[in-house]
Amino acid sequence: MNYRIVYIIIFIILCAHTSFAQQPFTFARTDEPVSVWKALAWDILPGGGHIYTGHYEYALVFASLKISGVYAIYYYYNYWHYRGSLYRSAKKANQAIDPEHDLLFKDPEGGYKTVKEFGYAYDRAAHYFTLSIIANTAIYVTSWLFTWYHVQKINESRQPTYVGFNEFTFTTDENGTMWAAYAMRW
Amino acid sequence: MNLNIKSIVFFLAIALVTGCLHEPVDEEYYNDLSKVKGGQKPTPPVIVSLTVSDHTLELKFNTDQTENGNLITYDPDTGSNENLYYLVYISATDPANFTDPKLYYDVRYYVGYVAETDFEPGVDPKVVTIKISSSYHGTVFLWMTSHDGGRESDHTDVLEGSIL
Repeated sequence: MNYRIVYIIIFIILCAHTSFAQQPFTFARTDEPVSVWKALAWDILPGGGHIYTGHYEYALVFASLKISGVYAIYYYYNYWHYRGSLYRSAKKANQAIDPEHDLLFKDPEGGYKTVKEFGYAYDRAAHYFTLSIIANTAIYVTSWLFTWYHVQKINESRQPTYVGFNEFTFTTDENGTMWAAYAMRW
Repeated sequence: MNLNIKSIVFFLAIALVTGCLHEPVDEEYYNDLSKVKGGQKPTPPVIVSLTVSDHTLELKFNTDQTENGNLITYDPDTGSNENLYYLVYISATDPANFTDPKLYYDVRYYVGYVAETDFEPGVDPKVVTIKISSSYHGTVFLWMTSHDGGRESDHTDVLEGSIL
């Protein structure tokens, strides 16, 4: 048996198989490094950065915290303006009704308050609003730090990408001679 | 999926509603006596006399005398004086020199109170005695107000006495 013919046939079959499959093969993982800036930008959305990096449990926690935080800002902003309006209204009414006495006005939240006490409640509401902003800032910074850390960990385990193709073609010329060609690209 | 959308809409609606619970009030919100503790302010008592004996002051005042059929001291919200307290203030300086009229009602000049119910009903004048420290010598200025538990009346005329 002519072993050279057998080798050529096996070679052709193998090359044809890989060529007709039309699928790339890789020598390493195809994942590209994750962009830190994209991840941080996605993290502006509740849980976005953690979903981007595939940490869904973190996404759930931070999404809950961020939604609650934004709601707290909305709630305390309204509350601050509300307490301010009560204070201004009480101050004006005290001046109009009996400026020589500190009147006690009915607080919608219960009990009675003087104008000075309404002022204290107004200040407290402003503090709550400020604290809600500080808490939100802390939540966002913490979330960004975790996102940045996760991106670093992902990129440490990823290699540059190498993708290769091979190609095997048959051609015939005008004299009926068949030519076989093989090319490999990296 | 529909249930999820409904749940989200439901929670958003709750969030918006609870946020809107604190809509600011307008400036005239408290310009309403029904929102003021005590409603209308009571009328003050009428001081009859102030007698100084050694370091004891004897103060006589009227609250039940009628004026055109009306009580002299009463709470306009109830029409009676059964719920009133009578506050006594004393100062060593002439209150006419107070820079702020609010000082007539300042706690630093407040001595104490008696209630209308502490006295026999309908009997005037009412008498209270106040003991002054034996170390004090000089002039005392005294005035009173009434209080209905929410609002305080205007002050009475100021009476003057000398402790030798």
